[in-house]
Amino acid sequence: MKTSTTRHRLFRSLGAVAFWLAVWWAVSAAVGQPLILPGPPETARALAELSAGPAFWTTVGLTLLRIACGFLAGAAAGALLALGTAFSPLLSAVFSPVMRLVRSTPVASFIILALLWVAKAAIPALISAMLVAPVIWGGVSAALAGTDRELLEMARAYRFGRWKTLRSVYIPSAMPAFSASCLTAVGLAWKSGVAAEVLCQLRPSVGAELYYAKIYLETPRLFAWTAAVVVLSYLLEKFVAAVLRKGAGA
Amino acid sequence: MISIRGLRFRYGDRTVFDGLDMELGENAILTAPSGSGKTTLLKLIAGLLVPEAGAISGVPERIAFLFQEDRLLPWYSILKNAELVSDRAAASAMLEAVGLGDKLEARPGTLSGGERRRAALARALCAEADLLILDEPFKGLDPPLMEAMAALIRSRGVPYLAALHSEEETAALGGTAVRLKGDDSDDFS
Repeated sequence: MKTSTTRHRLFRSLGAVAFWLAVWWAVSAAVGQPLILPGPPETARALAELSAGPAFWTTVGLTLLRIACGFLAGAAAGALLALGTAFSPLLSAVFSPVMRLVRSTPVASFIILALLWVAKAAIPALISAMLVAPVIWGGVSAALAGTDRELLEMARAYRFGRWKTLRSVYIPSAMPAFSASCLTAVGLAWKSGVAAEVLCQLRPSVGAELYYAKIYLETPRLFAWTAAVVVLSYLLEKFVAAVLRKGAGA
Repeated sequence: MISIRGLRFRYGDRTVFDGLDMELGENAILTAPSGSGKTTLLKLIAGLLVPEAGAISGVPERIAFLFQEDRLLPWYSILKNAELVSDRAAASAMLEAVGLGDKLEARPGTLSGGERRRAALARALCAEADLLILDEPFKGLDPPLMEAMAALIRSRGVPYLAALHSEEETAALGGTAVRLKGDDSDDFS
């Protein structure tokens, strides 16, 4: 029963992908100019050519490394700040407005400012972290504020103390929100990190390759790099989900 | 002996106690209809609520509190729940004693209501405490289990203060029954 449901879901997902590929193919055939809108075959050919050389994997690996570092730093900072602002009115007064400001400021503003202040190589990771941290902070803060009052009262009755209450009540309560926020933030980390690479023209990087593909009107390559980003983002999201699931089960 | 003098407490506009005076000896059992403040008084005694006026003295520092709700941490096994207030050996032994020896690693959400109640009781009983505060400890237990749990509580040898609903429960646990009213109390045992 479970296997048949899983198979059914898989077929439905594959069907949806096939449908949109067909739409893409049909539209690109209607346009008739691969320079403006390459179809799936041109994109696949460009991706195959790119991935045949070691430079592609170096580029992809470095972008992945930058974004993973940014994501981890942002997630750690967001979670720690959420704990700080939840329990310290002073920290809340200082950092809560900053988190809200960061959340609503356009990413391009940060990238341009970072270009003035920070070494180019560090910008994609920094920007990813800055986009990830407020998302994690918001999710974890709300979860901490909503911690079950009855469990907290139980902890007080048994004289748990501050650290034990934090470790055994607050943190496990906030873990589902932390996991959900992480999954939302992975996509943001990719979008912002690659956008930062584009604006920095940092090489080697996927962002710079996107930029140069656009400059030289190599649209199939632009699509191929975009497809690579989408696949990598999906894989990283699945990896993060698996790690979080394992952590929750431990 | 727990001594209560001039206790005043309100939930918003609703006055629960207005100048309550009461003496509670070892193994006291509070009986009263629902809504008359038994749980509130237990929480005031445990220091979980702060009275508006009055004083409560004679409460030991180390207490174990069995709430009306089970209040087990859902992300931990019942063994880990009990271990949070005790050492592993004592936690395990007490869970065995309440009949959950084969479910030590089960999470509360996978247990029946009666099993969760016994797990919560085991947690209270294995805690290093000088006073057990038991709010409806037999809630959801059938008569044979109630008798067995009452015997276990007595055998623990730690003074208790319990809020109970029925005369059967009071008879099973044993102790000095104290009827609680909103503004006073009197012995009826």
